[in-house]
Amino acid sequence: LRIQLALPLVAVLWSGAALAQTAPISQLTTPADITILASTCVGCHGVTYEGAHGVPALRGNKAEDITGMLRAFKANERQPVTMMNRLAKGYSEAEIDALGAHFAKMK
Amino acid sequence: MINLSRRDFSRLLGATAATATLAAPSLVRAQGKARIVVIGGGFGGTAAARNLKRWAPEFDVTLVEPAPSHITCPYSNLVLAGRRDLASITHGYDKVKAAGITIIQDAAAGIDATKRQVKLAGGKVLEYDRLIVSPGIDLRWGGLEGYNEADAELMPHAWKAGPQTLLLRKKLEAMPDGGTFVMVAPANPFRCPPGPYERASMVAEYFKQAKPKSKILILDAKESFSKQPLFLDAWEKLYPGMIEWVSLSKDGKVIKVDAKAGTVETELGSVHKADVANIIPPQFAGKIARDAGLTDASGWCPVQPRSFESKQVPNIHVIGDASIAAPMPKSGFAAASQGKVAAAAVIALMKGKPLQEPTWVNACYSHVGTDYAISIAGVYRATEKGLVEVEGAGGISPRQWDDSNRKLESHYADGWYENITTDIWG
Repeated sequence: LRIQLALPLVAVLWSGAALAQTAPISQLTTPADITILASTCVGCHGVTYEGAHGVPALRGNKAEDITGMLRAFKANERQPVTMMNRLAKGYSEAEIDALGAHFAKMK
Repeated sequence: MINLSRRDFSRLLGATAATATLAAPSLVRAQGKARIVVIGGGFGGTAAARNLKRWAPEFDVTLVEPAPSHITCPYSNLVLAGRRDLASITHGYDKVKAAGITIIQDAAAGIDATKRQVKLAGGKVLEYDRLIVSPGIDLRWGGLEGYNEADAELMPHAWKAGPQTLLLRKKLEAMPDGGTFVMVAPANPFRCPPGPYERASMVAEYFKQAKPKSKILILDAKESFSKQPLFLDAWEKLYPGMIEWVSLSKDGKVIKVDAKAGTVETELGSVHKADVANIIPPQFAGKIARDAGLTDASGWCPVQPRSFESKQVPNIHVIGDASIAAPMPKSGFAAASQGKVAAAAVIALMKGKPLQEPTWVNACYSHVGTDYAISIAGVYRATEKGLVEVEGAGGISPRQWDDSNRKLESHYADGWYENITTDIWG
């Protein structure tokens, strides 16, 4: 009897866990998502996003400057360029906005 | 929901105690100090440890690594070219320790996933709530007939940077002008897809200066390779007639090595004599991952795309070259990105929060000659269906670029190396 009682509970717990694992892909970009994406920018833009080796700083820019630049790269409207056009084409509009806000917060 | 104490909960579950063991740690540890152990102090493991501490300073993070410092495979080809020394690509753990991470200089000898313990070679046992395994690759000795560990003294692999890199450099220096350097390149998947071709380029740069009559022969088990058109264009421009690449269909696949005789033999029986040979043998996930049941029949570790948690063993995340993360390459930058994704996932899981659906980038440069580098980039997203490369993004540097862009990428490549190693070890 105990096991019979226990089974539905286990099922509930597991489906809860499964739900957390496979939540539907959100159109909104959460701050934590953007922290990961932004953290991969350090490879070229410097470990504190201050710019390095001629690659411009991300820190301290206005949000609209960052988003404007990313959209220009995405549309192939910005020169000179080596890699950012290739990368910006992979960012969603929500990600571009979130990146702008993220770097604007860094003073 | 009914309010149950943990004791009632366990008793109610009765025979399904294993389920309770799986569910309990995150619930219990959510209030306490989470214990995260990371195995492997390379790009993946150290990036995971650093970002766990950056994003969850309250976590107890331990990094297990037998070596006192890490010698990076990226930029080790520049040591072969004579541009750099080994010290310039060696990174210690002092700053990692100063960041609040416990460094244990010992090898992980085994994992008990049920008890959630790591046994160290020195006898110590570490308990964990979640474990991140980043062991890199092992070379499959015997995977190529005639090529075993002892043979690497005669024909270096140099596919783990360190003494093997210096040994190959020494052999290249000792080679007479007019000699032949033979490189045996493996089938996919393997560590650093553009690595063999960057290496051939760097050896060519050295030959061009020091022994211009020499030849480079690449015998390849593949039909194509990373950044191929850019490498082939550059070789024709910078080293005309020096580098010959033989593909799989042109009998490029080496099936037998005789290190003492200095020869390699292909599928169709062609025997090539080398003055210096570099054998890049088949590879698989590092031993600790294989011993812990993290690998599948391929020898690599299947993982969940959003967390890099093992599909085979709970509470263990596998990142870096050991994991199956295609379409991401097995590269240092990819490993570091995966370390960040896994760190964020571990934090979310420990705090009972939903997993992220992150996007991230990979940027990979190869040096081809003086003031001449090329790149490949990719944007990746973790979805329910798996890791995907975002379509229409990424790709290689344009073929039609002029010298100024190649020079710029060479400059950016050096910046990339400095930044990524500082982010991880600095």
